[in-house]
Amino acid sequence: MSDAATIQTLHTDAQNISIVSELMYQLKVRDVMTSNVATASPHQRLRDVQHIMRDRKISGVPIVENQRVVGIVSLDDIIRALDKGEIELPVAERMTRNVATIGDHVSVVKAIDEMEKRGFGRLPVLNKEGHLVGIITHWDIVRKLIVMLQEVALQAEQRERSLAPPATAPTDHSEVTILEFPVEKDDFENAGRASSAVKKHLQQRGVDPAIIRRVAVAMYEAEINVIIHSLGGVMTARIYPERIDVTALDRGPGIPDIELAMKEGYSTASDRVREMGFGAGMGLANIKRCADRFEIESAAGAPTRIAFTVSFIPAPR
Amino acid sequence: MTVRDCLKRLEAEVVVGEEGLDRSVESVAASDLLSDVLATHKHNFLLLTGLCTPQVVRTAELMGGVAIVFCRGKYPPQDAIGMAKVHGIPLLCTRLQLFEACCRLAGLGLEQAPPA
Repeated sequence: MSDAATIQTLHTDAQNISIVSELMYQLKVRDVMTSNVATASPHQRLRDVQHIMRDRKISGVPIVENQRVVGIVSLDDIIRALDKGEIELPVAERMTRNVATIGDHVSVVKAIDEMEKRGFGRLPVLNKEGHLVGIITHWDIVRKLIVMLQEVALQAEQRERSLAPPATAPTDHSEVTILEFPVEKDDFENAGRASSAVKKHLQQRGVDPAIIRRVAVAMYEAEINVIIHSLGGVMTARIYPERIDVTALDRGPGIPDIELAMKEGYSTASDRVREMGFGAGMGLANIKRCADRFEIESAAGAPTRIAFTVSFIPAPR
Repeated sequence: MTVRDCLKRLEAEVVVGEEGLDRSVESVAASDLLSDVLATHKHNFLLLTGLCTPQVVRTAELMGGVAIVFCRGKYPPQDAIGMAKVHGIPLLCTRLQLFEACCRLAGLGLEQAPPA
């Protein structure tokens, strides 16, 4: 595997780990806890607690008096009580006092720490006034993390479905349709959306798929160039009945030596860009190869303008 | 040859895109460089790669790739998964390294997607 991909892997793994740990630091106990806690009073019997555990399918019941946690009874305690014939005793006589609890405003990372340190699978959660407001277990945390990770995918999905409409509504003169897209510097997240939108448009028009591919590739290369190398700019597609003209116009900084830039393999892309799989130096040459006509204008300190045309009428190439 | 046939041969798992597994695969592109993929001539290719970014999905979508297999046990990031879902592009994972994966698919009779 290439170095670029190895580094990318480490970054992706690190990204995923840091996304998860970011999520965990952002998450507070109250975001994750179960709120309607099953409790019992110290005056009830252990058998009542046994029934609560059975009915709610839980293994720990906080014992509460005046909204304050005064003890806790675990499944172990119940089993021991059944074994010794003590199941009819009042809860107060067998509950564990000095219960480990956690504040609802505390981060989930801290909660996990506490559970680890104490060796408990659950912690009753108290608010600032010291009242019982919930209970948190390992499973609560895992479930929340899974949901949050899926959220990221869901949001990406929604963003992709609403592929940004062109900057100006397509002006449909009888001869030409114009689609315009602003492209921001370093906007890798959105790289290719303009090309994808134009591809979709051409598909709707019934253009030959092989020709659409050439347009898509050329436009994608141009779009990536604007993102990687320029201060940002605009891509415009003009679609005629028999051809498409695409222009990428940026705000600078310009190409000092165009001939050098056109050379395959020559690239001024940064390491970060290469780690993403870009920057092999094939872009401009690729556009030229895909297009029927290709123009490039630039100079150091000036905007760069790339224009290419692809004809819809297949011609011998 | 379908994506499903390749999946079996590569002992891969499906991350997303179950519904696309019966798509036909005509050739294979194997690369970690997006530029190489962009220079591929054929559509209906299966992409083998170690590069785990949403841009790989974008590239496959624009080029008409039918599925992406991430090698060496890589798992695609969540935003790539969301994007792939929209375009119906199956994302698969295999523990095989790129070379081994290529060899196995060559054994099935698949060839390199020719350059433009």
